[in-house]
Amino acid sequence: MQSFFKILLISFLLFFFPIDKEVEIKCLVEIMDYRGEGAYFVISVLDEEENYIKTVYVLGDDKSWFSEMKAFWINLRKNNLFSDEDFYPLIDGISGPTISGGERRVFQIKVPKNLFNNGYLLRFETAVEDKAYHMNDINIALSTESLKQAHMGQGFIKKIQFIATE
Amino acid sequence: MMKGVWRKTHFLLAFGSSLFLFLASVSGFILGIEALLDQTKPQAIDSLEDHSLKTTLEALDTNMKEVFEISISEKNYVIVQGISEDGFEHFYVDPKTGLKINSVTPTSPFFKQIRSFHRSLFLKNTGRIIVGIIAFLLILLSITGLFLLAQRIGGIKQLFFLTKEKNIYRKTHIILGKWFFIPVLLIGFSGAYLTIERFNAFTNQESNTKTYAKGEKILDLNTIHLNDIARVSYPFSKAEDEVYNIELKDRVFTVRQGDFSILSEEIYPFHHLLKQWNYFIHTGESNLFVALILTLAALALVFFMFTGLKITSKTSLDLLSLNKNNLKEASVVILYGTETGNSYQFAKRLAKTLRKENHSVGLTSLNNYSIFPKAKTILILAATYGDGEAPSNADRFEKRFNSSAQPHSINFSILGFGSKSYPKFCQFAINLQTLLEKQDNFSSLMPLFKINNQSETDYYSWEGMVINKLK
Repeated sequence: MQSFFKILLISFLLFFFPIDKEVEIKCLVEIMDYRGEGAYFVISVLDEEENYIKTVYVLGDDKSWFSEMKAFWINLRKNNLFSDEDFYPLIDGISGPTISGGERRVFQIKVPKNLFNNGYLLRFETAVEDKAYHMNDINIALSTESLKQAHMGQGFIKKIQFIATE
Repeated sequence: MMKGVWRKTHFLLAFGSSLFLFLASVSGFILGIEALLDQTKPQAIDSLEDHSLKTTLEALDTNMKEVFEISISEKNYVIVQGISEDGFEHFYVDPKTGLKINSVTPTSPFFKQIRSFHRSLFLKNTGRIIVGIIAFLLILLSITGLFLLAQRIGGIKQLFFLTKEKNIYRKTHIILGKWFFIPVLLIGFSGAYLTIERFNAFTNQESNTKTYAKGEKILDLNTIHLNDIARVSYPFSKAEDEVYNIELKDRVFTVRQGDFSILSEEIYPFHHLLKQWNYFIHTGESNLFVALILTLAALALVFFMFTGLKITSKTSLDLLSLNKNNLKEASVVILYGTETGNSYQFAKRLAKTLRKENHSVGLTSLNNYSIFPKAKTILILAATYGDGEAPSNADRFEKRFNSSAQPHSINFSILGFGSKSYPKFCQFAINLQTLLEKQDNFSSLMPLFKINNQSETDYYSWEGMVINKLK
C-alpha cells in the first residue's frame, strides 16, 4: 500500500514539475586518416572553469582503455564511479567498437536544457592506444551559435558538425 | 643426416616456443568457443546473401525515425545506429523486417580479456611481436613436423593409411599431425600475417579511385546484398554535399542522396582483402564450420605439446649429452642406431649390465664408429627407420665402417628393433648383419636377433646369450 502511494506521489510530482528538458544534438565526427588501432573518445560538458559536469557520450567499449582519457578518468575517480553498475548508466551512449582512422560516425547526444546557451563547454577527449591522448581535441561553447559551425579538431578528430534540436 | 636436422629443428622450435604457444593455444581455444557461441545468437544472420540492400533500407525506413548507419560485423550481425521511438539506439536488427533483435551491449569482459591476451599477452606491442613470432614458429613447426611424419611412416602416401604406431603418445602425435596439419599451418600463417599487417607493413599500396559525374552511373541497390557490405553511412544532413557512404568488402562508393547516382568508387588495395581473408581464417567468426575446425585445432595444439613432451622427455635430452666414455679402453663396444631413443635406452641398460659383469664397456652411436684400439666385441642395437632406412644417428655408419679397420679380430652380435606391422621389419639390422659378415676379421657370435615392438622378454633372452658368450 505504501509503495502504491509512493508511486502516486512520484507521478504527481513528475506531472507538475517536469524534469528539465533535453536538447538533442546530432553529431558527425570525422577522424583523421591514420593507421592502427581505433580511437576512443569521450564527450563531456564542462562549466566555464572547465570543471566536469557530466559525460554524455563514450565511444569504445573496452573499459580497460578508458583510463587513457585522463581528464575523464580522474573525474570518475574523484566521484568513485568505477564499478560497472555505477559506470555504464552514467554514459548515455556506450556503443561498441571504436572508430578507426579515416572513418566517420554519426550519433546523437542529449544535453540538459539548462546547460545549453548558458556558458557551458563541450569537450571531446580522444585517445588511441599507443599513439596519443588529446584532452582538448575539441573544446567549444555549448551554444546554438557555436553548434551551427563545423569545428576542426586538434588531435585525432578532423572535423565535427552538429544539428541541434531544442 | 637430413632426418636428424628435421628432428632437432622440430624439437628446438617446440621447446623454444612451448610456453607462449601453450598460452596462445589455450586462449585461442576459449576464443573459438566464443565464436561458436556467437554464431548461435539470434542476431547472427545466416543468409546475408538473401537480403538486398534495397529491402533492408526500406524496412529500416518504415521502423526508424532516422538511421545514421548500418554496419555488418565479421560475425554476420547487422547493426543499426539511429533514432527510433525510444530515442538514439544502437542495436542488432533483422534485415528482412527492420525490427530490433537485441541492443548492442559491451562484449563480456572475460572474452575481451582473453582476446587481448591472445593478441598481445597483456604486453601491448611487445606482446604483439612475441605472439607474431610464435605464429611464425608455428608455421615452421608444422612444416618440420610434416617432413618428420612423412619419414616416420615411410612416405607422403602413407599419410592416407592407418597409423601402425603402438606407443599411445607417439600414435596420438601422428594422428593429430595427419588431421590438423593444414588447420595449424593456416592458423600460424594467418596469425603471423595479422601481426605484420598490424605493424603497417603494407602501407605502400594505394587505393584506386574513380569519379563519376552526377547521374552518370546509378547504384542499383537491388544488386548489392548484405554479405558484400561492411557499412552504410547515411548522409548527415539534407545538404547537397552530404552523401551516402557505402562500404563493401572490396570497395567503397559515395552515392548522392535522392537518385543514388555514384560520385566516386574507391577500390581497396589487395592487402585489404588479404587482411579480411586472414582474419576470417584465423577467427572463423562468420562461419560455424570454420570456427569449429579452428577450435578443435587449438585444442589439438595443446595435445600436440603434451604428447610431444611425453615422446621427447626421455630421449632427446639424453641424446644431447653423448656419452663418449672410455671407447679407447673398452673391450666391449656397444653401438646403437636410434631414431626415437628406444634402442638407446636398451643400449644403456646393456652397458650397465655388462659393467656389472666387469667388462670395460664403451657406448656410442653407430655414426661415431671409428677405430677402437682395445675392442674385442662389438654389440649393435639398431632400429629401422621408415621404409627400411638407417635411423638418423646411423646413416654414416657404412662409410665409417669401411674406412676404419679394427686392429683386433672382432666378435659381434646385432640386435634389431622393429615392428612386424611394417613390411621391412628390421631391414636396417639385416643390412648391417650382411655388411659385417663380409668383413674378414669379423665373426658373428650368433645369428641376427630381431625384436618386435620392443619386447622386454626377447631383449633379456638376447642379453642372457650375450653374457654367456662373453664369459
